[in-house]
Amino acid sequence: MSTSSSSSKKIVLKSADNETFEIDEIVALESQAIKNMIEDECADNVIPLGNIDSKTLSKIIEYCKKHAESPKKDDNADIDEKAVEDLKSFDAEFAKVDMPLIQDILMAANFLNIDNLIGLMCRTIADRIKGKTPEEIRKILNINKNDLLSPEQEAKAREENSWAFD
Amino acid sequence: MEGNTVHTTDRISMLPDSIVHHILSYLLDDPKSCVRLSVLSKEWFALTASCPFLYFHLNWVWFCVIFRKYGNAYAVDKFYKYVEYTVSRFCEKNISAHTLNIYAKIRNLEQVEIFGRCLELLIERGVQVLVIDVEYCDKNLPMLRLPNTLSSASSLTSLTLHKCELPSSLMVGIVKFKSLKLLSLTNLPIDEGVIEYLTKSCPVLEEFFLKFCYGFKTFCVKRHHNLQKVEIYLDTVLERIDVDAPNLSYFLLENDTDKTPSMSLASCTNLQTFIYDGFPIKKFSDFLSNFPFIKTLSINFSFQITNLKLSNHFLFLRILQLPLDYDLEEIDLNAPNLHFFEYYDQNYSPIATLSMKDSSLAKRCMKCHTRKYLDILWFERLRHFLDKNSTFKVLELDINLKLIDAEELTLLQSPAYELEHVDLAHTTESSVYVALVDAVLWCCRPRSLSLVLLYHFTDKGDVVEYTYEKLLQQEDEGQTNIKFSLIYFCKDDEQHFSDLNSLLKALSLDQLSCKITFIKEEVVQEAD
Repeated sequence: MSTSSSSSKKIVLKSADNETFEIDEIVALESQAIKNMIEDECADNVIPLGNIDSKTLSKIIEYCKKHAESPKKDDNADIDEKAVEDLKSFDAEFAKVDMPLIQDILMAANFLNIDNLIGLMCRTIADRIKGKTPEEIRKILNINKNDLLSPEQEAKAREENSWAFD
Repeated sequence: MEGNTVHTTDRISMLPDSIVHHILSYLLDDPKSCVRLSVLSKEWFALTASCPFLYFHLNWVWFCVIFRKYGNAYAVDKFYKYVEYTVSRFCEKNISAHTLNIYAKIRNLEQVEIFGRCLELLIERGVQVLVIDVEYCDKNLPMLRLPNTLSSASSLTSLTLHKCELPSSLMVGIVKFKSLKLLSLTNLPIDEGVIEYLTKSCPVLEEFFLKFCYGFKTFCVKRHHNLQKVEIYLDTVLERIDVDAPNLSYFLLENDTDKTPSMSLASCTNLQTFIYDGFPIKKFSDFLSNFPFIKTLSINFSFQITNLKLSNHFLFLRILQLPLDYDLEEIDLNAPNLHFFEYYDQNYSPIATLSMKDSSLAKRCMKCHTRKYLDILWFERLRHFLDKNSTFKVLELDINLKLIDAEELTLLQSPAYELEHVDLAHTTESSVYVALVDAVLWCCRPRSLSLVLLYHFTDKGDVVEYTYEKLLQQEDEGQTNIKFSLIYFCKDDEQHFSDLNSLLKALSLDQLSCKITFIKEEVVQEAD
């Protein structure tokens, strides 16, 4: 990644609710999708993101800023232990948001193709599901009553591994 | 936000399957959660069945978490039922798996057969990463064997086996592991010729780990262009190692036997890391001259030997680890890029520490640690060595010393070797410390010096005062001040002192183990 000449270049992102965010190109490049757009030269000055609202987008920019700033892992350079720790604790703080926002961020991260953020959100969701009963998980994930298995199917599935429901 | 309209659907299950499987991948070690997720809804029932990460570890989770209240036999029974249920659900989907990871201690033939069937079903459908790590309760049980269909597992990228046999038809059919990049075999029988055949059948193989396998006398790899890393651990005698891999960059041999195999790695001219631990290698220096680009060289011998010589030109060498069997006088290196030289007692086994990110790397450090008692001659050799290899800036010593006559050292009048820093730790008693400081400062003239003083040293103050004076003697009179820092190992904070008396006062208050650093400072000259 070249930082010398492009560091000052700005990219503008526009959210679904028409809010604009001006960010350094280097921050935008954390998104593989935006990176591809820029490389293929099909990105205008303003990139519209019609399916991401401003609340989600500002969170995502916060994440990308932090990760773009922190030193990248490199085979040659000695990895700064402190920087790694710092990033870890940032990630932990970042994930302390409510479930609807986590889902919004995950969907947006998937759309923008930001690998680390997808991983962080998936792990956060897994952590919140862990050890919960099916009823509790349904509430967490907003599972609609119409989507449930038929009572017979569910009873059969539960019976196969009944130990998991003690 | 009007939550009711937006958030009444399960949006996660609407994401691409790969994302949901990514979430599931964080729950693989928690079978209870995996099962619970499968009954959430129709969507989740299907998503859990198609999860391409199949992870079956019969470990403490089963015995101590899920079935804490039941006997182990009950947990084992449920585990194997879970394995069969999960595999059969997955196979209904007719997709290929990404990972199959098995870890278990097998108790009977039926369990061998269950795993055997699962392997057959999944390998047939294709799998990328296969990890089988099994043990057997009963020595008479047959080893789990991979099915013959493995030979056509073209999607396999990584194969790791522990006590699980390779397919019986391996040498008969045409094997083509065209994607296999990592192969790791541990504690299993391998017939003569199989290694040569296997590596030939894996054209893109990059890493090959062979640990404590048996049944063969040679490790032979014919011309291979992708192989980069080889690790061999031996507890049965191997006669020959013959590797022809021009891109090999890493080679490790840990040899627990009392014979050294004859080694031919002459074509591996790009080797950058060579690690050897075991019975001494004959004509080692000659052998190493095959590798002009070596960056890391780590040697440890299992038997003490003498008259060792290392005389090589290693223009790229950065890390060197050698046992004290090599006399400092017999190490003749042309290694201008050496950043870290570790010199230690035999059997210290440096391999474990090598991977650590050692900050010593950045500062061009020579580190010596030994429990042996060194004598005056050793310090003369050290001084000579430092003069000859003028690349070092920092010296870290954790050594013991025979009480010596310090006068003997002062005979030599050439200036001591200049260093940025010396770190000195000595664990026996404080009476030797003064002599040790003498010997070290005879060898070198550091800008700063750290002493580790243990709590039981009764006369810490004397050692500090003596060191202070010795350090000042090395400099022109009136040109240098010394300031101090003091760290107690049991506390976090670091105290600073600008004069000796306040340091001595602070020291007298606490009888704790500490590290004191003396830092030389130029006296600021006032302009005339």
